[in-house]
Amino acid sequence: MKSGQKQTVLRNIFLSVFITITIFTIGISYWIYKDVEHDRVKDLKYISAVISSYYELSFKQWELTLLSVGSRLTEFNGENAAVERLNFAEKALKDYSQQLLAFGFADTSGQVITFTGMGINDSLPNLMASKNSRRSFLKVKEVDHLVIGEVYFFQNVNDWIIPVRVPIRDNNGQLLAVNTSAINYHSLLNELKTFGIDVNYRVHLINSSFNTTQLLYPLDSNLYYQYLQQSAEIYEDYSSLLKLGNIEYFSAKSKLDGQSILGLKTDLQGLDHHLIIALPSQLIFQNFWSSFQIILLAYVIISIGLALLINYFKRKQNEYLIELETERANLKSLFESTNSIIGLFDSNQRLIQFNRSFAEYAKNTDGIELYVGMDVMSHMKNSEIAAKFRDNQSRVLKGEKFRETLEYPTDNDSLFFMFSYNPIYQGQEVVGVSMFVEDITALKNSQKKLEEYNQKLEEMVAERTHQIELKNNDLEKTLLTLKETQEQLIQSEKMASLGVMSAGIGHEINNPLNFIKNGALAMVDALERKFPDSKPEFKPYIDIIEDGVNRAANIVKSLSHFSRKGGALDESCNIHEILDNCLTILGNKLKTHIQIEKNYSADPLVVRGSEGKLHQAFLNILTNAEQSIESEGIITIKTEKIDGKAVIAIKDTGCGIPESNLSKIADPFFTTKPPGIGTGLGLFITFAIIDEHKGKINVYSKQNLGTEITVTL
Amino acid sequence: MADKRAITVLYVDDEEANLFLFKVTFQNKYKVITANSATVGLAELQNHHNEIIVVISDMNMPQMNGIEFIKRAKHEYQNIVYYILTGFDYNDQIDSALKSNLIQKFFTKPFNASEIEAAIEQAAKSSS
Repeated sequence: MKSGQKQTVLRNIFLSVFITITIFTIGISYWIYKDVEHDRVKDLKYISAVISSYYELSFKQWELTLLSVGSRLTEFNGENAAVERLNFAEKALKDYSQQLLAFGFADTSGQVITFTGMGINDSLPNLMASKNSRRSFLKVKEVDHLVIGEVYFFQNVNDWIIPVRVPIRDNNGQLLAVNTSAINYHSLLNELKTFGIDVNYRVHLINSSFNTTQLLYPLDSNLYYQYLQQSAEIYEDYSSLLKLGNIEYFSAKSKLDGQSILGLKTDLQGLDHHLIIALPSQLIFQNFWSSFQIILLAYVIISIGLALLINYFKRKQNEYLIELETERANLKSLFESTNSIIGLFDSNQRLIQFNRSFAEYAKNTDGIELYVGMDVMSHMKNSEIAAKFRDNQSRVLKGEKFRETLEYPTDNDSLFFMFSYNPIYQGQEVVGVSMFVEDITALKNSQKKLEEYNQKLEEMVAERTHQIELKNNDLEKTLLTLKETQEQLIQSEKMASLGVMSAGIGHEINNPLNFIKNGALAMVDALERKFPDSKPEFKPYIDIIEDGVNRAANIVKSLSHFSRKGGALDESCNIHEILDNCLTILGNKLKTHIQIEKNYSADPLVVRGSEGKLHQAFLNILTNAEQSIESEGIITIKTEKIDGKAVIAIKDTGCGIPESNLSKIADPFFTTKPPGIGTGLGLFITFAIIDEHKGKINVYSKQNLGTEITVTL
Repeated sequence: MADKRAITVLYVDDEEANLFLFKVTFQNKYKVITANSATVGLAELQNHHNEIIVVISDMNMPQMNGIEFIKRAKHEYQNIVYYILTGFDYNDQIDSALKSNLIQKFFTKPFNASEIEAAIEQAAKSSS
């Protein structure tokens, strides 16, 4: 609040200065005014005293009369007081007009009441006595601030010189000068001196046919003096003020010293008679007035300035206060609007301040109504937690600041809070505890949920992964199957194309073969008829021809198996019977040193297919087995039922198949036998037949040890 | 026993060479009538159906194949025995023809003279 204090001090300073100036101004004005007035009144009294005492003896009577008339005049105070006084005075004076030259009445303030009189010659008194003059004088008084008049009177001039003393005053009664016709001015001066009137004067004699001296008595040397001159060049700015018959009052400015002057011009016995009365140059009174005005002006300016200044500071202070207030309001709204709990505690752990949120929570969880100064902890339901809070606060009071999460049990579920403790410092000292609490229940719950979801997700992922693995396995299996199928397809393709070929070829070769064979035979026949003895000669040629043709025909016949479409695979074939038949067929081919071992399954094995073809298939296998055994050996035939399928294994102890040939055994025309012995189609056909029957055939062989062929149908 | 020369065989084949060969092979034993198309064969049948005992036909002939021919022939002349001699091997057509008894037998080329001879003798026996 430093600047606020400063403002107050400043304000006080200005106020006191202002008041001082005001008092000073008022005091000065009053003092000056008072003094001036005082002087004026004093002088007036003295002059009247001078006049009255001088003529006391001789004219006591007049004096008394005049005084009584004068005192009577004061009785007139009503609205028309001036007029009434005038009328009264005129009437009273008429009675004495014969004896007096001139006289008038003025009150103690110098105010002329009335004026009448005779001059030392006839014209002056008449002039003065005229109604016009009376009125005029009054007028003069008004216009020119001249106060003319005093009690005076004339006496017969032959006896002695009756000075005519006409004090000239302004309308405030201030004596400006005295107009007199006394000759002996020295004695007049002495008179005035005896009454304490110290008069500085300058005496000038005037030119006149009049044997009198007119003296004017200035009141002080600075302001009053007189000029007696006839020449009009001494003054300028001549301005006629008033004309009283012969007398003209005028104002002008002295060329000599620039003083404003008041002049009286009259024509006495044909001569221009100028009386110059210098006006005090802007008297103290006027000076006073201007000074007063200046001071007043200064006063006004200063007060306005002060007022503005005070206003300004006041405004600034207001602004500052408004700012403070706004800040305070903002803070308060912040304090209240937040959903976080805010609480301030003093060093005794009593509540200093709390926000709305705190109050709500306290109400809802513990049914507590918070108030300032409360010992919150003592009102808590859970004493354990209350003790914890107390402990926390004492830690903070030692200057520690920390954060802590807390589980707060309520009637329903637990709430979770995050407490932030901070000490409140005043200088170096800890004076309180500030507690800021965040409700993190929702957060904690979200956390829990998140963990659950995470768990679930992992489970789902594991499950999915497992499923994918299984799928993978399936896919791998399928891939393998596809590969096998592909190979089989290729094989079938080979066979199929071969089959297509053979279908066409069959016919195209058989006919020419027919030509060759039967042509040769017919020819030989004809030759034999012609040369009957040469029959044996022709035989070898015929044999060779027949052999060749038969070989060719056989090959074609074998191949033409494949021109047959799927077809007749609907016979029910007994495997054991077929095998036995084959053995029978082979029987005479089997060399006696080959042993046959039959190891048939107990169950009969029946498959659907073509009996003929199956015969051929097994026949080929058995033929090969037999042919692979050079001298001695065993052929084992084992049959069994596995998974609903017939499995036939034919094993020999022959020469075996070298590894390099294993992949080729089913190739058409592949044979290891010398030409003419085998066509190389045996296994090719077998494989095709088994394939046709949707079976499987496996060959396992070891060179010099033997071969085992397993057929699954 | 009937005179071998009294057995008449009709052989139908679109290949002249085959017709020639057949003739020279069997003409010493039987009377051979050849026809180079099914149409000709039918004509010959019309003329000689009383004496023809066996009809042997090729399978693969333009315009009308062997089976068709035999069907038509058999429809007219049921007493004759019909065989097929073909360059093809056993196939469905032949199989069904055999099963339906349209033909008694079939032979493949190059033909075996003795096999055919035996079949003709059998046919002659059954007809007489």
